[in-house]
Amino acid sequence: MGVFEDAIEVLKNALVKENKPYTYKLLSRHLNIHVNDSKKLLYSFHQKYQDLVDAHYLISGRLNNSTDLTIKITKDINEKDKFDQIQSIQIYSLSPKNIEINEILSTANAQIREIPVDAEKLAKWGVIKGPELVKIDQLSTSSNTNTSSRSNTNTSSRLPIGGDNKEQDQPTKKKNDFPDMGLRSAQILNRNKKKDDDKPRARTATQPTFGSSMKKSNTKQTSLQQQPLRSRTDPTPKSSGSGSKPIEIDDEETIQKKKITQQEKDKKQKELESMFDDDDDDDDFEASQSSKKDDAKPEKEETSIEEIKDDKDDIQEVKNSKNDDLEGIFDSSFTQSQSQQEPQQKEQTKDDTQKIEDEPEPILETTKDQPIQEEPETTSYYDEDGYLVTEVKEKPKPKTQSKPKPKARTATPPASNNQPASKKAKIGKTGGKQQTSLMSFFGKK
Amino acid sequence: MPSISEDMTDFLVDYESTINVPSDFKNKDLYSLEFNDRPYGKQYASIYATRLAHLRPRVLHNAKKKWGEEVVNGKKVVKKEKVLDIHSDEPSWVVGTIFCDMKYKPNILDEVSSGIQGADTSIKTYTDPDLDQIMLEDESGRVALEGDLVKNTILVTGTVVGILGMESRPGVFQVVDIVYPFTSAQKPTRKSSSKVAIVSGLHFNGLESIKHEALKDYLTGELGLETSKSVSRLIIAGNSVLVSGEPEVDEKNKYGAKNKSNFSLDSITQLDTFLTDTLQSIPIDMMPGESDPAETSLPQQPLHKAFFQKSKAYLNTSTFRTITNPAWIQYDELRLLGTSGENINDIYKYVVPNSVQDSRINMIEATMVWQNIIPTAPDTLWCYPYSDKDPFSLTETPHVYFVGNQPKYETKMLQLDNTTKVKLIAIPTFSETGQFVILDTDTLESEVITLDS
Repeated sequence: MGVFEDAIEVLKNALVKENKPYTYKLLSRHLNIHVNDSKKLLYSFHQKYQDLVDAHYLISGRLNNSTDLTIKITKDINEKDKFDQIQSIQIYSLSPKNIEINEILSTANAQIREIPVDAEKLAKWGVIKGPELVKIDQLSTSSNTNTSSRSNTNTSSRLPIGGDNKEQDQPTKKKNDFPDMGLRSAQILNRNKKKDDDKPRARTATQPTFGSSMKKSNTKQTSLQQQPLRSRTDPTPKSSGSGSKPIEIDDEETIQKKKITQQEKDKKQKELESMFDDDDDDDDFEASQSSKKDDAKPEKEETSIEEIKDDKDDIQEVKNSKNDDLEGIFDSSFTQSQSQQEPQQKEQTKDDTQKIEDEPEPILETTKDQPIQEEPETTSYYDEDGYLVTEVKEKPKPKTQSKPKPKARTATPPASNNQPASKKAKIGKTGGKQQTSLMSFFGKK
Repeated sequence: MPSISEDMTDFLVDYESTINVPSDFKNKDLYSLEFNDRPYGKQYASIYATRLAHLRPRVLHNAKKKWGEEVVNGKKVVKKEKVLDIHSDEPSWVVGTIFCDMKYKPNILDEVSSGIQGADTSIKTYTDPDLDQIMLEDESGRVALEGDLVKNTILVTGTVVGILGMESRPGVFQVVDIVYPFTSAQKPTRKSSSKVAIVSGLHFNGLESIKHEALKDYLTGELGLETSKSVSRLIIAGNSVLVSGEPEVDEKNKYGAKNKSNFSLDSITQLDTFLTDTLQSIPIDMMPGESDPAETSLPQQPLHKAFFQKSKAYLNTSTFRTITNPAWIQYDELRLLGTSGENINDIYKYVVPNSVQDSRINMIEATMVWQNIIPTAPDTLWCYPYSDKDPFSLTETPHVYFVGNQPKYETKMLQLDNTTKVKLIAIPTFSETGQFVILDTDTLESEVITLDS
């Protein structure tokens, strides 16, 4: 028996040389054998080395004529005499002399936790397999691209869920515009220098536009469910479109065709005007932000926002994946989460959005300042249980990425142009607050 | 030396049976509160008003049936609409809500006048038999109750009953009989054939414990015991973590951020690990309890998902549900009602000196007879100020009614009326007794398993 000798060797090393205790579970996991075999091995070992090691026994049976089962873990094998009827006696653990059982446990369990677990192993060890295990995939398990895209779509989707899509879109656009303005001066310079830059930015813009379009079209609930799928599907067509450049670039073309014919015209002639006028630009901006997230984040990221997304994703995935009977549960939680989100968004966006709609330019300045300042630092939302969760962002890594995030949430981006995208990117770099102040300055004049 | 018993069967890797968890049924969300619509600014009086309005007709029904033709001392008994309608020298009956005026019972007026905030929860008992006064009240007023029957019956604040008797002296009513509300309907079928484990009071404290480990091994089948594999669901009925000591409150800066929580991260992590390991083998329904990091007022809402870092992958699937306390649960066709024990532990404080032994099953039974599982809220238990309903009054009688965190395991099959039977179970505190309960959902028989070390 190879296993047998292995086991004896392992136990000898651990118990005799290193003075470490061994439980049946640890041995089972260490050697990848059934727990019953593990117990037998411990027993055989104990037979040989009784002088060196202590054993803890697990005696199960019935005491005092009672019909109820008692399971006793003891060092004293004579405890078995107290039982009227013994169901089984097993060796629970071996240890060097005079070690308390709880100490044995903590030592052994620490080692057990380091051993990776999967369903196959569990079955081999003799762990009962429960009914179909419904597990929600974590972001970490899914591929980078998928996760990032999911998260982005979710964030964008949130906004639409919370309030009327129209209202949100407009205000967000406006907000974006102002920062764009500040950026623009810099952007224009950049453009002259590098035309190439525009394209990559545009791609980023395009991805988000997909999301935005989806948002508009879909009803609240459906949008949540559908978006992840769509977002996943999106990348492939985009990539196919553009051969040489990175995946993102491809997106530009498709997106542009769909939404932004007007913008393209405007681009060259009036950059500033387009910024103010075009809702689409704003959308692009957001989109670009989100797309950037997709590209850059997958590895880094994991900010508060995305965690929030995770929850949604979880719910979604579960729904998609399995059990029909579960749906009721999920639905309820799902609706809750939605309803929770609504108040948030309303709170955040209401003031800004309404004002903006009514009085676009002047109001924009004031409104912008508030959201821009607050959002990048903290994120607060109601979770499914109704707790107000406020999360403080970690340091934004690249400024462009981090700052855009909050905006992306609140804003639903319209169509994308190369120009707006570039503007957006710049905005992100410079920082929302400064931009807004510049904007206000210009606006007043 | 003992030999490892050879008859240890190579256990089945799969469950023998499973339990379906219906996604929706009556009362499923009875005790959940809307997170965004939960005003606390209301008066508690409306709970008593709605409770009385709901239960009075049911008491009247039983009272008419029982006392309709009753004759006391040659006089036919008379029904009185209100407490204040009671006249002396006239045998009568009336329906109202019990109120207990007890020496040690927390009194909000005393607290306000003495400037002390918050009731002393460490009180073991409210009662002083010599001074206690039990009264019946309704919208009109109160009358004090007397008689041996009153002394020997469990009556606590908030229960709605009908009393028969006569006014012996002004403001004092001599009680000769008591009726309770008509039993609410019970779901006629309870088809289910599996076993459910119920444990309460795990009290994880961050230290490894052989009891917890053995419980886990039992549930995962690694102990190799025959019964493990037939258990297809676990209910954790509150008090899963232990509050570690007193909270350190800085008196000078009471509301500052420096005040440390008295919940230790270790205990939460330990609970999380326990759940994650156990979930591989058995689905879990988890209720919050008094010592858990949830709000104190009843109904307690599900534990926050932030506590379940490892196990959150399963959270709110049929595998792992965090539910309210109290909670209605349905397994297949079987309906269970459970609490984490605050209600019974509080009722116990009303009756301590009367009870010779430390038995709680009578009180558990009483809450079923009263058709109200938490009558002492809002008097001596915190609760949400419901304005338009009293969800603690039963509109449905469960098949199984379990109460967690009790001193010992007790069970009883209670016959409420000809057709209505309820299985009552007092779930012992695991950390003290090492015991948990296995309930057969088919026969409704239960057994207790003891882990000893």
